[in-house]
Amino acid sequence: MTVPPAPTWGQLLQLSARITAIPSMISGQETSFLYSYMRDHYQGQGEAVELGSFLGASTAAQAAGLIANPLPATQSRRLFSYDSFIWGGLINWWKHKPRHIGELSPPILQPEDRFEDSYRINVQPWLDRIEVRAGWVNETSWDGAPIEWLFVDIMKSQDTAAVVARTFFPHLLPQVGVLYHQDYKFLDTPWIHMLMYRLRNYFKPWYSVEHGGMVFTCLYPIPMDAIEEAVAFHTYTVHEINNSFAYSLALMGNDVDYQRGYVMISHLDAYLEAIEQTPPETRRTAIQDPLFQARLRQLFVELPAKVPATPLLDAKPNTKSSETTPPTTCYVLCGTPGSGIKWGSEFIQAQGIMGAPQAFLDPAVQTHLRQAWSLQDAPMLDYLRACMQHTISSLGIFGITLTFDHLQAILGELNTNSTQPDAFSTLETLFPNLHCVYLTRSDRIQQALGNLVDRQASEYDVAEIDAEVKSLIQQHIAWSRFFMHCPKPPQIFDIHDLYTIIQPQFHSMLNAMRIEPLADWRFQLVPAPMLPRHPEWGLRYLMDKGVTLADSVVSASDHPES
Amino acid sequence: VHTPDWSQVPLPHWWDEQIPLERAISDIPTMLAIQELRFLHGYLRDHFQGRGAVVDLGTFLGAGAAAMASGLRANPRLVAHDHIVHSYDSFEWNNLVNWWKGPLVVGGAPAQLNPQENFAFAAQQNVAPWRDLIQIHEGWVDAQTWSGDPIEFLMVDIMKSRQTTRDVLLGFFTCLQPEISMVYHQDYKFLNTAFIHLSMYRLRHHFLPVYSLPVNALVFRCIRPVSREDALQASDFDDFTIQEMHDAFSYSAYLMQQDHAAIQHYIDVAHLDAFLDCIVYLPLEYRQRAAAEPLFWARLERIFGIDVAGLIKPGVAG
Repeated sequence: MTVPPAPTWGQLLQLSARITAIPSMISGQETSFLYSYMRDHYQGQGEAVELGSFLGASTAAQAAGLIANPLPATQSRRLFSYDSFIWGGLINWWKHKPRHIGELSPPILQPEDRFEDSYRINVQPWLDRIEVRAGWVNETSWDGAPIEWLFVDIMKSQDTAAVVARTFFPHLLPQVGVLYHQDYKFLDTPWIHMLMYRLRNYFKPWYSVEHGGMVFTCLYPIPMDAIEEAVAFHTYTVHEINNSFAYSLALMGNDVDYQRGYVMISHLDAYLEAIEQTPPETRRTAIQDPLFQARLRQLFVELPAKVPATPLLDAKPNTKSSETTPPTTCYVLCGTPGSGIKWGSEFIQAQGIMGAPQAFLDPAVQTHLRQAWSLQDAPMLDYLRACMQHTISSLGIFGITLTFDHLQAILGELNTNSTQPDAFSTLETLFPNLHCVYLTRSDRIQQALGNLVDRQASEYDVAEIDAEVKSLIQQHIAWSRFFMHCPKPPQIFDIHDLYTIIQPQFHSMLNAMRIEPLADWRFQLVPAPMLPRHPEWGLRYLMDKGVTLADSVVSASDHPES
Repeated sequence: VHTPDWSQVPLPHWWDEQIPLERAISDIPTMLAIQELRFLHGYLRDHFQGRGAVVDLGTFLGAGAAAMASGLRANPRLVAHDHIVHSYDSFEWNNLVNWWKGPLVVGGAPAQLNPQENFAFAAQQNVAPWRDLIQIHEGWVDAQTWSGDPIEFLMVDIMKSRQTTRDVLLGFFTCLQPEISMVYHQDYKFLNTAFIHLSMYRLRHHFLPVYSLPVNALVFRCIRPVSREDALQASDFDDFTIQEMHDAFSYSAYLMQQDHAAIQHYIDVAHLDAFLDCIVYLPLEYRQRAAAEPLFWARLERIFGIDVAGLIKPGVAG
């Protein structure tokens, strides 16, 4: 019954801005897959169930796909969407971030705060096709109806994994039912791998979503005794645990490196989980012991240097000898004013392997650097070559941050412009092996307000905000047109995603540029600034414009169709 | 995690008898406690029946072998006095250079050997007064080392790895005689020899805990023969379930409940160490990736309730 994965699944679809604007921890590829699956493959033979709605981004993608599904059998189907809607363990991930579309000044969260209201605001356009089931999954039940689609994003503990398997797996339709494990490639849910290994005769791996989860099809009815055996996690032998992860990695042969790495870490975590099962006093005693500390140090600190399997770039010292060496990889970190370029630049510099991208064309920066390098009267291209020589990383990588105005200035020096089909290749004559990293922001009104505040605007002026929003949209469209001619598609990151899932995003950035960090490289966290800058102006602007909170994002979205 | 009830298992007797020891023995540099030397001497003097060999696995500088030999010499039951101590060690200094900073020989100079050097000469010199009762075997012990003759007293101080544990079980434990043989586990109460607990747990129906020493050692009587299959099963560490590993340390903790709290804490460390052993056998890349991942360190912090990175990483604020 299993059809080949659809070609569209690997694509980043231009979904409605109303969906992509919902605050979320899932990737664009994943949202695209969920939408595409529900639109093109869901048959309506059984129910569609989502476990773990969070703020509704995945719900919206699935529900929108369901609505777009032309099959008659799907027209009466709804998406059963389960979540506790209680912050709990999520609180540190999302403490200061917006919970719903258009939220301007999110209150500080408390552990027991509920967020169902935010969820309902976010999924409001699709609510008539959603059956919201609020509550802890172990306190809820399933009526036994056959399930065709099961989205699982709540297997955060062994206990929850067991409850989900017992409650929902027996109802998956053989040969039709599809299970989507959102956390399959995350680093601290080892029980998912163990569970799926013991149930491997009942599930067939179907598709691995890049930057997302793993899709399985259900082959046979799953008897309860098989489920009970699979969720008896204490009965797994070491050998079986190791086999579980070998099996998982084998399914992920084509996945991006960081996600394979997460599964390797998850493998270690299976044993850390066993340690966590010991009484707290046992652990407290052990960690105080110098010999135990020495053991941990030996295991996780005093590690032999990592030898890259296929070194893609040779390390080069950042000394004068590099002054005559052109970069092996260049990138532009681009976006619109206030879309997070400055923070992105700080973040990348902190990593120490991708150079020091700067706004080299910013007048103040340019004046300072030209003076420092005695290039006051040098042509712009010579100045940019000097920027390369001085900021190239030890891996031979050079980065520059660009607004669209800066891009036009450089292209002008190269006797072309951004609308020319060869603009990118012309730019590559200056910046060899060029990549584009585009930072965008879905809450464009807030972005506009932030820019006005930065420009010392002291009074609320609706016309001024209008003009700034319009300018941002125009710049975004201009970038989009430029990217249309790029032989290498840009890597696009929403700044909200970068704040929440920065490490995997950064790994995907490295991967796309084929950059292999050196052995001693360590990821550096860089605190993100608060995004909302002037909430009271935002509220007033929305009222003046007569739009709802939800509409606000659509009307000011950075997506081309808007 | 479910904790079994071990109350039906007899607890070992507490051994704290004050047995006089020759000065020539107590002067030998050693990592054994004086109580251990007294036990080895006293047991071989008062209880050894001469129905099997005496084997000392882990000679080091000879103190244990000397204590056993002197016990044999004083044993009134042994008419022929034809029993000797078979004492085994690799005598490779690089295994011990980080553990021993004291002298090598009685009244001799502190250790100044190169890591590659052999220190068998020191052990030979130290046990010279009992030369007729000790045969020193130099080299690594494996499953074929022992002749297969019956063993009555087995002193084990070389179970420092999974592989050695397997070799000792296969090569020596299979020669133990029910109701006669004793196993002296010198590292039972140490903190980084988890495999001893796992293997003795699987062999718990073959061994009865008899004596518990104030430090280090637990002594078992063999009550059922250990077959080759038993030995293989007891040392198939990847075949243990998570629950079984927890149970093994619950069993050990039960046997050590009369010990001082500081000694009991060692069993906690060994318990956790058993799971770290599983991690050691995974590809190095896994640890390298984990170590570079902030969420992994956050996980350790959650497990131990303390900033582990600050504790063990140089230069990281605690």
